[in-house]
Amino acid sequence: MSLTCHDVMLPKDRQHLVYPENSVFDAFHIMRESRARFLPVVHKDGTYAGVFTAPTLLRLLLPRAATINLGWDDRRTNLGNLGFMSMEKEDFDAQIDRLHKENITDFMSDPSNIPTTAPNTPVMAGILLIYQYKRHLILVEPDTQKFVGTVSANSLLDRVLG
Amino acid sequence: MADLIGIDPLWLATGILVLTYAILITEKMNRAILAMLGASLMVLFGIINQQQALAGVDANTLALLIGMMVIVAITSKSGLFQYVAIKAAKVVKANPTGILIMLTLITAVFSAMLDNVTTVLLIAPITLLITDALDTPVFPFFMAEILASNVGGTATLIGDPPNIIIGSAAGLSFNQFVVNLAPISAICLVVLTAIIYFMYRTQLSKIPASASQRIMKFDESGAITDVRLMIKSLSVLALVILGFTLGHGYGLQPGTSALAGAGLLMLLAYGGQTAEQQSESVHHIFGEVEWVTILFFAGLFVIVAGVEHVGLLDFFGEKVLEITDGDMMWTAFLIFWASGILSAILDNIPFVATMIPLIESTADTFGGPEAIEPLWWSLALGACLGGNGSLLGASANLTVAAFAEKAKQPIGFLRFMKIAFPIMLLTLAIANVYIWLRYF
Repeated sequence: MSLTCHDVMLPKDRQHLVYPENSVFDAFHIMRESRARFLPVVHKDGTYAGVFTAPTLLRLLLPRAATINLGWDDRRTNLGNLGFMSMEKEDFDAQIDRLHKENITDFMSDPSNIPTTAPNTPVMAGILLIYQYKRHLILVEPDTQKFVGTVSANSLLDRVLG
Repeated sequence: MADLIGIDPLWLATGILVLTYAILITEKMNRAILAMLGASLMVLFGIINQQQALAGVDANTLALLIGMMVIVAITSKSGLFQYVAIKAAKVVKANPTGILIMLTLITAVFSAMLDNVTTVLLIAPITLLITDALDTPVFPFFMAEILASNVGGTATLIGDPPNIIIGSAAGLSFNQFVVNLAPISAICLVVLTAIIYFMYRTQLSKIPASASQRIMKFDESGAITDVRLMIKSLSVLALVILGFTLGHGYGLQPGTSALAGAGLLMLLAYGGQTAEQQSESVHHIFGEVEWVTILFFAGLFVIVAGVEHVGLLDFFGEKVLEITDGDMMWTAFLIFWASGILSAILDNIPFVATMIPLIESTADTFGGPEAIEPLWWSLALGACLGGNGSLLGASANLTVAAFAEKAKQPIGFLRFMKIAFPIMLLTLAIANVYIWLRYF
């Protein structure tokens, strides 16, 4: 029987999840404890809301002016070298302190950058999506929008080679 | 073709012009596509032939725009602009009001030498960084920079696209622009800076000194990514400006100086690379040239050549002379205020492109091309200063507004206009007095 994405996924009960009510600081804490780089965000009823990723963490540590994207003009709207900024640990602490107030839903990855599919999708279609997006694949029940699990290169290797 | 479908070429050309402008205003179609289609229709309907269409395209304007875009794209990689902004902030000891004044002045000076959109794209991110460090809203700073970019751009031939088009069409030199427009631009900048200072000094004086210390900790030398590239860029820029100032006397058009400078800077920047690396670098830099703008200009020139060919602009030129009774001063004032007010709400580039043949048509009445010089300055002043009237008045305004939106500190159309429109009227009034005193 041919494999589906469901067969090679990391199920939701075996990974760290965050809730829309969580703050960005909560997500940082989970990332630091678990070393996870990719956190699915789900509502209390289990429906999928989005993902919070490690690159977002880096974006939040950078000055806002350095991360604004104006589309086609983006190449010119940057601060260039940020070597002029001297940062001490206290500066980072102050920056992270501010994130206590920030809601995680405001900093989820752009949905168009995150591949999602149904659990019964053939595994090869899933691998292609991971390859194209360079991100974990989110499995969502099409009818209920409930989060089921994620497929990543690691989960694939675990199930196929393990 | 126009004969075949039985429509008078005058009406057909007018229809194409009006339709192009109408769609342009709605912003529903990319302006390059629109201008190219309009230009094609002028040729396809036989209003002008291909030779006439190509002759209508002002190659000097396009060369100047492309050359300067390449030079600025390479120069901006050196970190020069960030260095200047941080240095300026530290010169005033990171005093918030001082920083506001310095950034206003820097924007105006950069805008006089670069195009306005490029200037604000370079200055807006560093401004946001500074205001975030000061923990203060960016609005007063962005407001001042938008106004300063349009006022500063007025000062030179290369500061604002309308000036480039006017200079090229009327054969006016870089020096003539500086001599005629820089003084009034400087006066308007002083007035603008004073208004900004009095509007925001109380608000900015409340910022604690500890916030300023964050700025003082910036090390401006760290902003420079490539010292050698910066020196090369500045040297070439100086040569190009020398070409602008001296070239006119030797029949050298600004477009030639700009393209020669761009070629030289690419050679200096990438000449040491392998052929393959050079190709990659040059492709990358050409990718930063705003081809949409270039093709928009090219198409627009053909459309204007079409309506000029059928005599529409001569007709309007006669109407203008009828209204002003053939009086040079009133004609100048009419052109000045019409371009000022219309530029506040419309894209000033197509307006200026259309006005050029119209003004040229009045030369005979006023005693030849040299006699109508005040009309060119009136058009340039109105079109450039009018850009401050609303967020729609200039591309630079919209660029800053888009950046502010992304920074979650939206400027707001009405909020901007409440402050900017009266300032625009004031600068127009000052410029009107200047035109009157200087030319009549």
